[in-house]
Amino acid sequence: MTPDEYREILSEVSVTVLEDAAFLFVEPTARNITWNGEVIEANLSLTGPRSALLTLAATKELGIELAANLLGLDEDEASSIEKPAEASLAEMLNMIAGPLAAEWFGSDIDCKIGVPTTVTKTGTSLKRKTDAESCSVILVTDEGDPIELTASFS
Amino acid sequence: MSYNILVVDDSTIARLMLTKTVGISGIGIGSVYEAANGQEALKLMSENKIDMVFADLNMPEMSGVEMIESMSENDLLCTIPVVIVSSDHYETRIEKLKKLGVRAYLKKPFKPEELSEVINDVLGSKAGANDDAR
Repeated sequence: MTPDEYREILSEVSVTVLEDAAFLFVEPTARNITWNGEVIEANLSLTGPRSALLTLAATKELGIELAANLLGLDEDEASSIEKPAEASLAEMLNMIAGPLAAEWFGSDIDCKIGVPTTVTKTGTSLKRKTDAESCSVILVTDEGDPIELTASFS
Repeated sequence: MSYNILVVDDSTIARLMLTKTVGISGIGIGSVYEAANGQEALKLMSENKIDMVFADLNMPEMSGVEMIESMSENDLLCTIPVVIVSSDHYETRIEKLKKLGVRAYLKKPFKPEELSEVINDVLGSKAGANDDAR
């Protein structure tokens, strides 16, 4: 599989899962992101025929919107749960990882999905990986909020 | 008749999603217990009457597979129906879990109607078995 094929599948699976699970309609974009404020990064390992660290990054505000959508609540209600943005972004990445591994490697191939972790960063400290061992996609919501997904292969 | 459900997932939001979906499934629900890993779940199962367990696979401390293996070695817990709710799509693992006695496997993200169908299948047959026993 070529790097472009890995990236294309990462994009397709992420778009589908965000729409199906969280009613968040996004589309890929070629534009660069300028992150402002707090950005939450969820990380999760895939261990299989080709191992990778998956990363999903979005603003805290979008994370809270995702939590609200996942739970069928309004954003004020969703804000009352413990760390809603971190929890929703970690769970979204977990939901993406399964079908992504199946599409990349096949559902007959054992690929272990790790437990997601999150870290909060300031926008300026986020640096996109552009080496040959990584692939990255940027998705934007209807309202222009970005979500960045990266797979760093090892 | 109402049933007690145990939801086992390390993700708070996944537990809330499952609890909410179980609540709207139409089945009479008594209590919904929550655990963040297999170890906590086993403790809750030993202390409470649980009719059905929804469990994730990938959890810290004790995974869903380890929890099911422990349940299968316990005469009291081995009869509790377990449904796995996981993002893992590996077919061989799903088949192995079914051989261990897992009643159903829901892939995340799931639709509420898929969960309702599983609840009705599992608890419906349990209600039927209870009726037969009377």
